[in-house]
Amino acid sequence: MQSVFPIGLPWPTLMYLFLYIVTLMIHVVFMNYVLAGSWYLVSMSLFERRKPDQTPSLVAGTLREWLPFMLSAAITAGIAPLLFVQILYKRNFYTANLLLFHRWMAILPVLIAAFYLLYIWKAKRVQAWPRYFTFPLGLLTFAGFAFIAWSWTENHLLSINAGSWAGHYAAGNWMYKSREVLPRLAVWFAGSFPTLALVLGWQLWYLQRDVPDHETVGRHRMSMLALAGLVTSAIAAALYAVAIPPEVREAITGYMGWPYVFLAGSGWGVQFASWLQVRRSARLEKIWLMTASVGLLMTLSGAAMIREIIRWFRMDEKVLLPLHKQAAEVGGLTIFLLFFVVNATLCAYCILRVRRGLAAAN
Amino acid sequence: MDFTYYPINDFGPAMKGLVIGSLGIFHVFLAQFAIGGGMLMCYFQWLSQTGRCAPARQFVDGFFRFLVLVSFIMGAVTGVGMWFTSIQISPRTIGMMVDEFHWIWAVEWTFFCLEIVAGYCFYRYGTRLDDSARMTLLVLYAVAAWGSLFWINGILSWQLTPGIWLETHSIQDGFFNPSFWPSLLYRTLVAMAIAALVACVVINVMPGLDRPTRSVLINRAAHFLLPMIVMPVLGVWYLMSWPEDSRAWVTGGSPAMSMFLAIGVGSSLLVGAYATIGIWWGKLYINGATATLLCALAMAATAGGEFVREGARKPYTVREVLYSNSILPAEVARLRQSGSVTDDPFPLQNAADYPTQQLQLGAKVFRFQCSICHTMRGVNGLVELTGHWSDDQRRLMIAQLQHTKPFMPPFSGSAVELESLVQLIGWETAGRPEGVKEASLDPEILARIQTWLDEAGTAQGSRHPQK
Repeated sequence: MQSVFPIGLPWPTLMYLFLYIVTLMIHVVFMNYVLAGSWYLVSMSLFERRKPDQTPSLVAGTLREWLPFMLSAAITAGIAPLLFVQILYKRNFYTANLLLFHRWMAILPVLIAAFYLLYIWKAKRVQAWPRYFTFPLGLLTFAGFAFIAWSWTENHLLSINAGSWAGHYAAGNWMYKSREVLPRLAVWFAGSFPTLALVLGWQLWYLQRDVPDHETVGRHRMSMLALAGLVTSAIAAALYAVAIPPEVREAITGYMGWPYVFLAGSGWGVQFASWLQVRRSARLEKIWLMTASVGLLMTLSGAAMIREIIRWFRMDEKVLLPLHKQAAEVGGLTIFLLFFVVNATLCAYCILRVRRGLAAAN
Repeated sequence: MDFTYYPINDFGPAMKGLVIGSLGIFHVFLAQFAIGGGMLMCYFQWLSQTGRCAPARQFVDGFFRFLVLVSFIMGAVTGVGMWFTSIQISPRTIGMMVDEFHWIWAVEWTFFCLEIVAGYCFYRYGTRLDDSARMTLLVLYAVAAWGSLFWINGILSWQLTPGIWLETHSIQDGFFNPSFWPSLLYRTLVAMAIAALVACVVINVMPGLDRPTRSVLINRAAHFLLPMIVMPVLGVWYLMSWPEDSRAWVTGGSPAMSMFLAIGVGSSLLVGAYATIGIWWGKLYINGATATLLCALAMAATAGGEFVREGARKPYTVREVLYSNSILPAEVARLRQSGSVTDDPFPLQNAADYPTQQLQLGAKVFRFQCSICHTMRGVNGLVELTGHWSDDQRRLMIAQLQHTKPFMPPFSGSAVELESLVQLIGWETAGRPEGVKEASLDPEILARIQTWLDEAGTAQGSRHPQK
């Protein structure tokens, strides 16, 4: 491929790539909230000063309240990219799953345990427990999500390194060691904080929107979270760029990926500027949350495309393209689009119905 | 014809079918509880808002909390787990299902999204909403939950009864296959019954309810058990929609399959009889222990039913399209020529355990062709199944496998590979003796094996093999 990715690829591949990347980005938003949110709560359970009546701060309370739903949403939103990745890169994805074997399958019980821990963490009775109980509980929950993130990173890197498969299998390894694992994981982890800050920022804005002329609770903390996340993710991205093979790096910065590097970088800049503004002002202003949202969208889409270029560069197009063409020949796309619209509308209707119902009740 | 080899994992003494079966039963039970639960809550909400049952609203709120904690967590994660486990057990099968039905799965995903949104809206705000809004959310949740059953049922039933899809390859022919409707209706009734039984457990453990109130709620929940009366009819309809040979396995042809069917039918009958005669007609009160026991019986019925459904597909995972060991019928002849593991890029993980190259080849053949359903020494172990046979018996039986045991696929390798497998089984049966020397292959034996392979042919076995 000697042009900007994915220009020039046949339409079946473009369609599945588009669907994969869009659904992945939706999943990532929820996933980032859970990963960064659980880490934030662990930190707060250690350092935050408690109120005399033991009620949590607005930020911690909101997080605790919403984390279980966000995890549910992350799992549900994750089904779609999991489906499309099987169409796009079936052999690679399946092989990586199989090679990591029990360690890969362990993410299921770990996820169930972490899910229940979130509900335990949410319980009012538990919030009143002393720190030496709540901190390990939180740490255990976060460790579960961190393990899952680490497993996905290894799975992904193993899936794109076909040359290592036979040796990995023969050795019976359940872990994949590569110099790319840690920096890549660091990019994802650090990058989850600006997302958390933004989504939580919108929640805090919504909760305090009717309170006149006062400093928004959590404003300063959200801006610090976002700025710290942006800086560390940029450092991690630079380290990751060093870790990947030179030819892949050249493809990203050269003919295949330069628009996406520009897009992600511009988005990073927009986010940084927006959060600086938030830090300077007394309230969480809607305008800066909106610009930060645009910036995040730019960064996420740019990063998602770069991620795909790194993968695509190591794949054999001649093998993949006919498979995508074959997949596109089966029916059902129209039915999917129809139900997507219908069910998305019904989801929106549920939310509106609740808002109307609550307004009437109040 | 390109053949994609995947690394094959060893689950020790556990048969791979048991691994996916165990998770599958658990997931199906939870999923059906979620589906029936949605309908049950709509019914109770209707009872509440029409003044027919005063404590119904309290029950709905308590039951939904329980449903979220059980179904939204374990149901959702084990659902994803089914995908991952399917990849571990048979990547080619799940790959084919995804290839053929990925848009249907995508449709199902939109229903999942609606289920989560409607469900969480009710979970978080239901107690503060009026009856109309509550009913709207519950109906949407129930429709979405049942919708997910509707879509996945088409894919799962296609595996056993692809019907005219085999000629047309049209998605609607595959989806609305011969067993689609009986399977869908049967599962719907099962979902309603499971929800009612779980409701009886929940009612017993809900705080703040006195005995008369519990009794009223249990008797209302029992209404969802009544449709079990038509289950035998639906069951027979479902069974009649199967291919004749599959039906034969579960009605005596295979003792294991027949036993699982008996467990499923027997458990269902016990639950149905108790529900109809005891709870509904006799207005009996059931305590938590009895309700839990009935749930266990329902789980047993689910287990029996799922094992039967999985087993009835043999020797295929997708009827007439893909054999249990992930080989296409069209590939058998070629693999007999080229050898089934000649191009397998994955070496043995424990090659040093096998003292000769022939045994190593046998181990690779076993891994590729047999290990999906068999272990060497464990559940369905070859040592136990064929340990008392002579080498010649093993050669003949394996060469003519699809006729020896019609629920098994034909052997898909060369005569040399078959002989290696026979020697491996012999070596394992003898307790892995040391000091085994590399044996030269006897051309006469190979010729005999080849003759038997040619006689058996490459097609699926039938009751009337050609003489």
